[in-house]
Amino acid sequence: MPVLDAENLVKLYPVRTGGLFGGRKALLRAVDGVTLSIERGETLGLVGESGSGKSTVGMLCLGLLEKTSGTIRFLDRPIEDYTGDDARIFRRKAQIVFQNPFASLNPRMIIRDIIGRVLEIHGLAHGRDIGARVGALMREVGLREDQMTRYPHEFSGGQRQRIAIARALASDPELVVLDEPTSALDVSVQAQILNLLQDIQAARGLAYLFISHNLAVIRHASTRAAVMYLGRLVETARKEAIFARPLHPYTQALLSSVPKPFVTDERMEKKIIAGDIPSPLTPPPGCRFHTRCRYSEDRCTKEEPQWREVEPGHFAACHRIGEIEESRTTNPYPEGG
Amino acid sequence: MTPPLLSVSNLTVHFHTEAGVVRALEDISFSIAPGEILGLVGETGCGKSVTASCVMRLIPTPPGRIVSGEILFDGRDILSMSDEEVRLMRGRDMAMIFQDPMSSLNPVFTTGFQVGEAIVTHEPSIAREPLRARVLDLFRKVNIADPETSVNRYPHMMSGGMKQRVMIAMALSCGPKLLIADEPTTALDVSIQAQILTLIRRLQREEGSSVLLISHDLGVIASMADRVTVMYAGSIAETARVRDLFDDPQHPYTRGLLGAIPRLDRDQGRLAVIPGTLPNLMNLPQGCKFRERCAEALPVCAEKRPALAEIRPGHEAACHARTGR
Repeated sequence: MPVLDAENLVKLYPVRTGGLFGGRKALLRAVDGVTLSIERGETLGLVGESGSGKSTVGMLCLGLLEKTSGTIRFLDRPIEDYTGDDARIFRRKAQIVFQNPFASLNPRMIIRDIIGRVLEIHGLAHGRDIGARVGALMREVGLREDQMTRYPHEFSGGQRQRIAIARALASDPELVVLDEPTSALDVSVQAQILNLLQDIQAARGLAYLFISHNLAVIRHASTRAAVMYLGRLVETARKEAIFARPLHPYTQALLSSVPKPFVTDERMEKKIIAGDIPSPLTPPPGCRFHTRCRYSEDRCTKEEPQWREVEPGHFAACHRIGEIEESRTTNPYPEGG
Repeated sequence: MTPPLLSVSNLTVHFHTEAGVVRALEDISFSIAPGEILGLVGETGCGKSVTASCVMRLIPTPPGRIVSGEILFDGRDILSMSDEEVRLMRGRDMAMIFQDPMSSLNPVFTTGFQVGEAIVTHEPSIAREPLRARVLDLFRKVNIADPETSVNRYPHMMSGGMKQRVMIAMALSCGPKLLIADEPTTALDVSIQAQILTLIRRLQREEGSSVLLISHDLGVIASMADRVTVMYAGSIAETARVRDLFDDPQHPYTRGLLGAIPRLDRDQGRLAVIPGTLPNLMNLPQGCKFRERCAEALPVCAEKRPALAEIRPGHEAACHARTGR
């Protein structure tokens, strides 16, 4: 039984475009038919560029945003069924760590209260027990117990992110959504936090939804990875498969766009994706990637590609899978810049 | 050997704050040859942006104070120039691209006007038509689609990548010899980053200018730079040709950084971690600034700050364990 099972998630935002007064009404398709599931002890990495809808998916899964349609089952129950007293169970079992630990911690509260408040609200500890539990949580994330009477500003960015993680762990969750948890941190600190998240997962058997724009971080942290583009999933697979043999042209191009931290004779010019990311207000018809895809043909501009299982456990949505694989190693991207 | 275009020697910069003296830069020396891309890499607070600001003479004084050192650009001493000389040099001889194109452009003027303004500053007598032609030409050079329309657009009508192209057009407007790019792609998506990096490299080749490329991203540095300087807590840890630095890093800090990056090309069980945290720049330890986090520290490291020394031709590191003190 997966911890989280989301099917056909859609989130539309009504917006007004053009004109200072009024303007046209339009629908922004932030998330448009996303299906994913996460097992206990597993990390699903959700990767995509700005506007892909990856953070919106995270918020929908936690019920922090109301979905337009689709189903989300948490521990085999639709999240709408968690009402009344059960709502608190859902809140307790599904937690989140945000990107910016400078904004996500209340600057007027000491650490004991930031973490202890969670314990109080969920009735997990009372009175003197709270201090002891907070101390244990701080040790778990690599902080010293005697630091609990300090304020957030007295900590470095990495330490603050540890506090945010301790707060998420306080309610003993089963699922933690990690929304760009290391994007605001330096590489040496990022390594510490990634290792910590790995240790916590091993010890507690947590399920993670790990959202990031950084492909290398996703590769390192995930069991399975899902790639999003303009509100849709384009590909998902176990990380060994998706990083060694990406099937979708977008995944392929994205992987080769990342500057690698070693010197090669390969020229990046050969593989870059041309053009800008289209606006989610007016996503291209057919395959959403066709405007930037070098394999695009007539069919791609009209028909939306089916989401299908190309290999066991390896899903992708592209008309031309199979046809393009061979040319992948030889056919360079047109010179851009 | 041709003389360097830019040479910085023994630059030391302090900031005087209410809390105390921040030793932002300490004895920094490096040089850039004509037509060379020097990558400057390091984590938050290492002094890479302060270094760039010194070269452009943009350090606010007070609170900043250039305690000692010399910056020679094209044979001229930048630190002893008059304000007027500096004003003429900026934009014409050296130009800068900043991290955030959203906040570097003025929202109430068209992008074409802003690029034109950079030209007029240095060529006040230029007529309207040749100016327009120059701006259109620059827009074309940085691959902005439909330049005739784009020059009339305001910044908010453009994507982040397009705005960064405008910034680059502005920087190139007077054909500078040195381009300082401070995290030019950090605010951009990967696919757009690849486009902008390719563009910077293409223009650098075409114009033959030198580039000081500042980044925290070792991937960006590896794919762009000819030589690399690694900074740590206001000092230079290591300088080498790009291939030597990535294939055979010498300073324990450089090695630690390279071990800490998640990799796309291979599996890593656990990431190597540099223990501890950065030293406080207001209260620096004696000896090597990296000593407390270093697995190779020797007794001498606690006493004497290591100086940059050549380990092999063109490869320098500031480490007692490497240079045999």
